[in-house]
Amino acid sequence: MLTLVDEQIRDLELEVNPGETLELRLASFAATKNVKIHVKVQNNGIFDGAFADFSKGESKFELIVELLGEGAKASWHYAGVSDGKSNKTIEASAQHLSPHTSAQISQYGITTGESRLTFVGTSHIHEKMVRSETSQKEKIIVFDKGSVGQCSPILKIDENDVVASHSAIVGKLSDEHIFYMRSRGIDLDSAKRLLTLGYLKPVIAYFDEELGERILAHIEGGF
Amino acid sequence: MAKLHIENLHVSVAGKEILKGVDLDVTEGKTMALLGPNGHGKSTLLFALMGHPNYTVTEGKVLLDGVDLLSLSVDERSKLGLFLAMQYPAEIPGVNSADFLKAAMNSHREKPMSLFQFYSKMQTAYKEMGIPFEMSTRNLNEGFSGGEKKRNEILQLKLLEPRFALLDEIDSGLDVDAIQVVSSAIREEQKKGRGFLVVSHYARLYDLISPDEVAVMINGRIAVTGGPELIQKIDTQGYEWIKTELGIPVEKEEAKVSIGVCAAKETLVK
Repeated sequence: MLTLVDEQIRDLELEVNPGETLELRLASFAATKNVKIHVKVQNNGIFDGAFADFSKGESKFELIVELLGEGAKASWHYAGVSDGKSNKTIEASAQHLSPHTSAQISQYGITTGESRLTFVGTSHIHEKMVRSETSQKEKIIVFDKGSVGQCSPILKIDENDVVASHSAIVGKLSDEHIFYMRSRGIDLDSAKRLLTLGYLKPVIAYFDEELGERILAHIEGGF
Repeated sequence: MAKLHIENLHVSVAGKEILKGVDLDVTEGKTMALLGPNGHGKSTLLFALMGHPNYTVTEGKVLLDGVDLLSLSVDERSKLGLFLAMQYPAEIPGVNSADFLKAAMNSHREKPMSLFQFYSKMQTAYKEMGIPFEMSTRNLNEGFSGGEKKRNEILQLKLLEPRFALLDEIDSGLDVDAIQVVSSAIREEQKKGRGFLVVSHYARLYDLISPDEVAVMINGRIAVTGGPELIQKIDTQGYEWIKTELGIPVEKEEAKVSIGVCAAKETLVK
């Protein structure tokens, strides 16, 4: 497992050898910078990545996974907050360059204040890469009037015998959910916090206890 | 005895006036049945009392034990002792039932409960409602069956101990066993002196919880009030007699509001 926190995060070239598993854990709590991570996965190798992102500022994060060998798998779970005047772009892409490869990309974000959060990603199944599976799931909750969220999960499919899906949701917290919780005595801020917690919390499971607690404190403290 | 006092209440939904001057008193410790044809404003009254943002009060006043209810936010109304059991409770993904219950119960207290206190209360309530305790770890109402959602509403009523509970078709979609569980839980709560305003279309629920008073809502107003004998009369004769005996024409539902009783559902879907 490779765990990188804040300043340790930088441009990376990673290779997953045949049959091996690489777990990449990223957590960011400070100012952001541009980061580019390039992962190559060989035969039956597994790349398992997660990123808890509470960084601030203007930045672009880019993850490109190349599934080079047959049976290579990749999964990516991002959960993050864009607040203040931050402007963050998170890009996660998978290139299926062998048959029987799979990639699952899930990104969950919250944008508050006057911030902007953009999710992009292209999952590309190349010609002849049969029985490959790919999915792109992106969801952003927009909290305030000045906040902007944008999702564009793209699929490029050049082969028929594959499974591919993508979904994008951008919206504000449901008024009905908030009404239900408030009708039980929970005040507006606490209701928002509970709803947000449920949305971002799953990322904690990827981290060890110490870092998990730090992430939880950031999720709870932010709202 | 404290009262939930409703006076000349006018309520609009999306610019259309649904309640046209409701006068009603619910007394603490008493149970009032609220009947009426679909689309005449029963659910609207309950949601407006709780303060749902889609229901705009344009005129009138509501006092809970002398306190101006309409000036309070939704959560303040709950803290004052009002509870609404909904026909279609929201499914809330990502929010754990136990976390939600703890936040709700603590919001009604000065000091948060100890974890032990919370779990023992929660366990007792789950047992009484016949809900498997494992369900407390599941997301709130998500994937619950219709019956489970209704039990979960009454479970919250038990845990939050309101002074006045508004029940919106709590018996719809319940099987015979579930209706027994729900009605016996309501009877328990009646004994604790809570006031109830109960909307249902079925005499069966009313037989089980024996209301003290009955009010009939027609055309957005209370047309008739009386004792439990009114339930029998409506159950056998419908609402036509109101027109012939009292001279109140019962407005026919327009196609658009024909799901009036499901007004809550309509807003949930939006």
